[in-house]
Amino acid sequence: MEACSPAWQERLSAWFDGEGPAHERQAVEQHLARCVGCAREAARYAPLREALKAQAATETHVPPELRARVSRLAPRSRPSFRRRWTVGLAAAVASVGILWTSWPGGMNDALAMDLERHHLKAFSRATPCEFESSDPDAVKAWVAREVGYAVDVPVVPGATLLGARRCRLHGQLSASLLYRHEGGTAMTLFLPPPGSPAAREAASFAGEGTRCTQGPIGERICVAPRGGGQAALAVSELEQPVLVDALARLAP
Amino acid sequence: MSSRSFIERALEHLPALRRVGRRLTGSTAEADDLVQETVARALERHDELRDPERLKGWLLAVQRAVFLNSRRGLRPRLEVLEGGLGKEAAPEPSADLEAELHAHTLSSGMKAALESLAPEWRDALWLREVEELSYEEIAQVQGCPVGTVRSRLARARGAMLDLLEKEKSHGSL
Repeated sequence: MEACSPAWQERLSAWFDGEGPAHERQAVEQHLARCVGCAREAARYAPLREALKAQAATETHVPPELRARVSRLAPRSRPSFRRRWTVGLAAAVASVGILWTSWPGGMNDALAMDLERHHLKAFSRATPCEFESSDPDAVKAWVAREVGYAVDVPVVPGATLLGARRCRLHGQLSASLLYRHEGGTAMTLFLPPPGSPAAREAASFAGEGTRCTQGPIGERICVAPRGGGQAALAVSELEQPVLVDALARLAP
Repeated sequence: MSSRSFIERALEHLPALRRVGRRLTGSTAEADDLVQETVARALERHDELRDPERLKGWLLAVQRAVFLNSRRGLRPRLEVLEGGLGKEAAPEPSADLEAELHAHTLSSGMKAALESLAPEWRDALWLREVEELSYEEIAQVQGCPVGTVRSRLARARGAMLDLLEKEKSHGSL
């Protein structure tokens, strides 16, 4: 039997896909009328396509957990400017030294996005932590061993320490501590290495006092400067005072 | 397009992102992480999407970039095995291969044939036949010229049909 040559095979394949210029498509149609090999080849493309589609039809399921993880990436509706301003002012008045700002503005967007993603990604797992322990000393020892620097692991009232994970902030390995508050709400404390770009950027954002913002994905982010270019960051959907309180539990 | 409506539209394409993600990572759990990372990255960049009608192709391109970035340095770059498969004299096609294809869509032979293709050929074939992307969109996803996509598809089809023919002649299709 006459074989379909590689050159015609390529034209034939493009013709089958409805691609290629009109003159080429016309040439293929004329060729098909006289070439048994190519006609035979073309006849096998459609069943191959159907077979592959049938294979894919078994892979259309998306687990609700994945859908929820992706849906959470959508920014929550933010309060109106007036309400944000009022809430911010009230918060500032209520907590002297604590500033509130509304994204965008202030915090580096890439850092804010990284923080939110690490937080959401960790808590979307069945086991959020790399190292699981509710013992602050054990978590502290794991961080020192695996991340390479000492951190304070605070006890946060109303929250359970789950453990710790490593993450990368601005490309540098950083420690994160994971907590779950009563009611199940997740919170991550990020403790970037002293002097690291993320720590310096966060400290610069915070200035003299603890400062909070809303990340692009919608989580609340609070930053506490810790002196010497260090900073600690809390990420959660919890209210700002809860995050500020958690950060205040860190040793000075 | 607002961030919220972008996510809503991206949700429609999760099955495709997951299917392709599984092929890239070889693992369902890793694919799910990759999908989440892809949508997060796409959300950051969604202002760059010029044609909202081509969201699926654009998301798959972002997914591939996220995947390659995550694997950079962890494994050798994918090799392009142009012309390496199915180029020897092909056996005479059987008269009923079309029917066999219909009847055995999920056969191990079908899967094995697909897996034996060069990755770029297999991906191009999958993106065209299953995800129904245009040549231009596949070129965007694969980061290559449209002409290369055209060539990959023709070779992938030829190789798949040859491999299935061989499988059949060994009685395992």
